[in-house]
Amino acid sequence: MEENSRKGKKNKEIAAYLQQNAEFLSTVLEKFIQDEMNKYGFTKAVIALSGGLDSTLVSYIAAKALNPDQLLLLYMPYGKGLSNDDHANMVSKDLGLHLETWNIKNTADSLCGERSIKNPLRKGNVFARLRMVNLFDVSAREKALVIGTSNKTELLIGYSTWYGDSAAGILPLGDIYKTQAFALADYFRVPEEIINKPPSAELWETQTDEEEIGLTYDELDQILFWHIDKRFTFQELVEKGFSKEHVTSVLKLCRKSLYKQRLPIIPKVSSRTIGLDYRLIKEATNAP
Amino acid sequence: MKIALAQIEPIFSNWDKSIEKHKEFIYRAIDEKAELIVFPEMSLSGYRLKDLTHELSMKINSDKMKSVMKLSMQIDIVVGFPEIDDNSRCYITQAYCSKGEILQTHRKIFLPINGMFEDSKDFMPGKTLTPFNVDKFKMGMLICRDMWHEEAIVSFVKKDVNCLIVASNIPLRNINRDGPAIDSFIERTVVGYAEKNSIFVIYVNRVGFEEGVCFYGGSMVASPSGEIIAKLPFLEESIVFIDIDHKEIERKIRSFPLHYDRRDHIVLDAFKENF
Repeated sequence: MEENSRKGKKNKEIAAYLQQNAEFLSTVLEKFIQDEMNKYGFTKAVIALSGGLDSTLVSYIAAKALNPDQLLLLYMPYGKGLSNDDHANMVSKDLGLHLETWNIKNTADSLCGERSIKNPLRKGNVFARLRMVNLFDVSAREKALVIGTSNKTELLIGYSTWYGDSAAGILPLGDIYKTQAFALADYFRVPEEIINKPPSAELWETQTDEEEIGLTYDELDQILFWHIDKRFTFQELVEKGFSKEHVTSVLKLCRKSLYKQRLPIIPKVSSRTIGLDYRLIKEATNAP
Repeated sequence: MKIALAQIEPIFSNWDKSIEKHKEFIYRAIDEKAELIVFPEMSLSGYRLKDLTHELSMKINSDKMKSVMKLSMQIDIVVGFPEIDDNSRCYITQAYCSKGEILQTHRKIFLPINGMFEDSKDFMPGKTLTPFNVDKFKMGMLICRDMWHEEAIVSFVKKDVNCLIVASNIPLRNINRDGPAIDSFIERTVVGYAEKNSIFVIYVNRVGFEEGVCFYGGSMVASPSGEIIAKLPFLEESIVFIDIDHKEIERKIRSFPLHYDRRDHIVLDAFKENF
């Protein structure tokens, strides 16, 4: 009952200004993936599929952009992945893609045991980074582009593990808010079970994103949209009807996570410094 | 006059591949007996050159530009490239090549610096708007942001331009239910200029990505009566051929001589008062 009302809310009440043309958007994202593959000579791509909405959606988009033999899904649960086992299998079956599984439990338990890591947040970060290590090794093995699954909402508020789940070659959803991802998932006919389950980073059991962040994605995305995309100030957001507490908390999260959106900061001591005034776009790779 | 709109994806920083792609589109246009082919802004180099600007910029009389001019023996060609002058100053330039020579160049005047744009960091602004005659048309060229500024249009119209060529590199920003949100603004602008000034507007935008920035295409031609007589697809490299007839300008002016009630002194007065 509760799940049905969640889905109803997401599908019907997505704020008008967050609605997009799903067909056009998906074409842009497909072409972007193809472009990155072709420009830099990749014939394969790999996605870490958790069974959650974002990685499922990215898998569907990539599956439309690439041939089945070009795309590998990598599933890395900790122990028994609860409903995610079924969902990851469901996605790979639906898309006709090979699903490679590596259970991180033994390695994670061993590392956390040896280093006495008990704090759930630290453990969650270790899990995310272990997955990253294996993901990039598969990338090296297959000479495959790592397609990441972070969305704009989590990138803006820093809801990801630095050099963990946010590590990737490209992020097709990086400019798409979570509520927009839900709408896009409808367009791609992502299985309803996956759309309906509460979003969770699964750093620990029973964790849900919305409970941990303290806001619903609907409200969070609206505050982010008006502040980031439309440049509303704090005062203007409050005047628009958002609660002072929520706006304060979202803006604070945004500022606190700026470091995650950058290359490590370099002190400038020369005339041309990486990340600052050594200005070349990646396409220059192919310049003769 | 049969024209071809070449909505291409320019190849970033690779002259050999770039000139090959231009030739491919030019030969197709010649096969279709087009008299003019229009390529987008910076079609020969790609757009976001940044620190490669000086290295990739070309002099008007360079061998590379001469090789482009040579291609214009059978068809007029409008191409975009980064230009460097004798004083090492770079410009975003569009060249109209005809009969083996450059008939006219236009240097982008309005260089955006907002948001993702860095034009004025790397390039000098052009200063002049010069019309030129081709067939029965008096043409004028603009580049991308130039089109957003009314004064450029007013100036050209005052100089009796009746066919405006706009070469663009407009990226996708927001997506609304109709697709690229900015496209409706561009369409209104192109159609508005055409209809209000009784001119043809030929607008060519590029496609393809540069480091995630998506150029969305949607090139078009608007007639003096305000009709979109050609519209190219979004996101796809494509070419379209369309006839533009000078008589349409005459007929539009005959039925709606809007220029009779133009009062240019109002613009002049405003400038005088504010300078």
